[in-house]
Amino acid sequence: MTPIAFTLITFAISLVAGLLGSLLGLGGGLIVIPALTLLLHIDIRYAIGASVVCVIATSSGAAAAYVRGRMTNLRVAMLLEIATVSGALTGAFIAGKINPRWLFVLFGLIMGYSSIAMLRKRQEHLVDQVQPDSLATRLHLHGSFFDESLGKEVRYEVAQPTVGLALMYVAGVVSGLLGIGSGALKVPAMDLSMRLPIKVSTATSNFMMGVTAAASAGVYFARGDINPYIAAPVAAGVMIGATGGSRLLGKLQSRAVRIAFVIVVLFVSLQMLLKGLR
Amino acid sequence: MNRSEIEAADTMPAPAEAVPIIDSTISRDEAIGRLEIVISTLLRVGVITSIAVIFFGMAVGLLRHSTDVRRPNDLIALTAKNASFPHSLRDVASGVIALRSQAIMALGLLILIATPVMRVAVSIIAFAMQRDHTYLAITITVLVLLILSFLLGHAGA
Repeated sequence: MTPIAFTLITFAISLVAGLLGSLLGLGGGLIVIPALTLLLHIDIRYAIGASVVCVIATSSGAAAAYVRGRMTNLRVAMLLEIATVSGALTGAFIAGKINPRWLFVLFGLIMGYSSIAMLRKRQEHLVDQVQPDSLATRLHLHGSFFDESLGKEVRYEVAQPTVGLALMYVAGVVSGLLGIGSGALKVPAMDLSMRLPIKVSTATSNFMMGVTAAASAGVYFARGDINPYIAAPVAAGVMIGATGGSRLLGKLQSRAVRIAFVIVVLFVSLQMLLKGLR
Repeated sequence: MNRSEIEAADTMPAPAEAVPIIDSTISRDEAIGRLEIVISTLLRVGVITSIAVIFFGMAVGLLRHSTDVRRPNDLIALTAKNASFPHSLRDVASGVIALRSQAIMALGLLILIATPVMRVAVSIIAFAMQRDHTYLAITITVLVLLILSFLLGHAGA
């Protein structure tokens, strides 16, 4: 393969990964890393380095829209970023030390989990069930947002910020290790433990991903794991693909199509797992 | 103490600002609202700038190395585990001045990485102006951790 062909193929694959990621709500990294490693036989550290940059791009692109829609709880995001960023530093540090085969194994597991988690239909809990937390009150974490489907302003209270911080540290470690946004870990953590409305959890998790990924990107860049020749076409491709995906359909609604995709994603995650274990 | 009392206490650093509780809540919300608009503009500008620089770097690569990019052996050199490419600020800066494609692409990637960092910096200024000491401390901590990440990578971590 010639370098120019490689650039074009990488760009095309990333475009599709960005498009699929945004349609499925999985994020580009989860798709682009297996594509680069399994199809193009790129070293997994370079694939992760390229993916980290994509996470920043997709998070910043989407966050701009969410923040304007006042869906993001900025205080919750900034508080939890202390945990996700420390986690990301830990994860990025470990990633440079361990045998790459474990990165494949962990990636396979997280990818499998995320694809199944994506299928579960999230249920909106009742806002008045929440026990107001004194720390959350002192930190002014409670907020409100305009719910378009209800057509009114919804106020909510935040519970258990310390549990949230602990879970976010774990999500940050995974982000740093694998160069993914790990939204599949962040959203349930905010939804179930801190009792944020699901729309707020999604927007806030997405908002934090950019800063979390920037922390791991710093480590990866300085270490020499972000190869511009690979990361540049990947970042450009995923960014354009994700933008196109969000304009095209919003989200894939048909359950049958989603299940079909989940089966493909599960198959790929198994491939990653096997590559690590062989 | 209930929530609004605590909020009021927190937003009254000076007696001169001892306005009714309702007003202080509204100004807090308004301040956050302004911050939201600044942040979303900043994020968008950062992403668009970085993608423009990345494409410029790719174009430079095509034009300046139009013969190299067709040799398969070069691909191995570019993507091998020990491939050499700029990965320090100094290398990127000198490469950009020399109009080298790898360095320009790396600059685009650095702009992208810097975008969320800038977002944290803007929040620090906003919280400082609001005299919100708790969130000032929180955002400064996040910024310090982000700066630490570059140093950690350089230290060979």
